Amino acid sequence: MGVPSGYTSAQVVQAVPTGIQSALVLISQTTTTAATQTFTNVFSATYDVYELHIFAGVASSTQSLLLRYANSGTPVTSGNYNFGNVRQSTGAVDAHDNATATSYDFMNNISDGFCFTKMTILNPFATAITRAVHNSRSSARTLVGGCTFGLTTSFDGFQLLNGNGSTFDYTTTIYGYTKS
Amino acid sequence: MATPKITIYDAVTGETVVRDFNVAELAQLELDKAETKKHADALAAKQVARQALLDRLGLTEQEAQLLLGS
Repeated sequence: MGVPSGYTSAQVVQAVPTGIQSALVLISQTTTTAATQTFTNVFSATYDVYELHIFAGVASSTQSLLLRYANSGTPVTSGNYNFGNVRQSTGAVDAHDNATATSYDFMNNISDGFCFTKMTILNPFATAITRAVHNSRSSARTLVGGCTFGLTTSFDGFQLLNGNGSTFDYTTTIYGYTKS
Repeated sequence: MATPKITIYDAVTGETVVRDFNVAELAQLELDKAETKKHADALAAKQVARQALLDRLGLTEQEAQLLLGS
C-alpha cells in the first residue's frame, strides 16, 4: 500500500480517509539512556489531546517515574501537580496521591526493571487547566490514575525523570489526536 | 558518583542534546531525592504498621485479604 496523499510515511498506519475524524498521528519516537529526558516543541495548537507511550527500564526497586510539564526545555517544578493513583501490588491496593506535588508520579517502586505506561494528556498547550490520565504496569505493580495541573498554564513540552537521579532507558512515543 | 546526564529531544527537528546536569538541576535532584525517600519511607512504615496489626489480631496476610478484600 502506498502513502496516501497528504500524509508522510510515518503517519501511514494512522492515516484515515478524508472525512473520517479522530486519528492518532505519530509526532515522535525516541530512545535514550539518561537520568532525565526533556522533550521540547511537542505540544502545539495542532492538537488538544496527546497520547504518550512510555517504556522505561529501571534497575532499582525504589525508583519512581515522574513527569513535569515544561516550557522551552525548562521544567515546571511548582507544587501544582495534583495526582492520584490507585496502586496495586501483590495482594494489596492502596491510594497514592498528593495534591501539592512538584511532579506527576505515575509509576513507583518498580520491581523488575521494566514498565510500560500509556498516558493521555488534555490541553497542555492551551492556556487552560491541563489534565492527564494514565495506566502503568511493571511486573508486580499497577498504577491507574491521573493528574491535574492546577494553574491555567500553556506548556510546549515535558520532562521524564526518576526520583533519585540514576539512569533510565527510555523509549517514548508521542501521538496527537487529530482535531476535526 | 558521576554527574547525571540529561537528554533534551526536540520533537520538531529530531535533534538530541546530551549533557551533564547543571547546578540548578542538581539542586532540584536533591529535592526530588528527598521527596522520593519520604514517600518510600511512608509506604514502608504503612506496611510495617499493617503487619503489626495483623500480628496483634493473629491473622495471616491471606486471611486479611479474604476479610478486607485487599
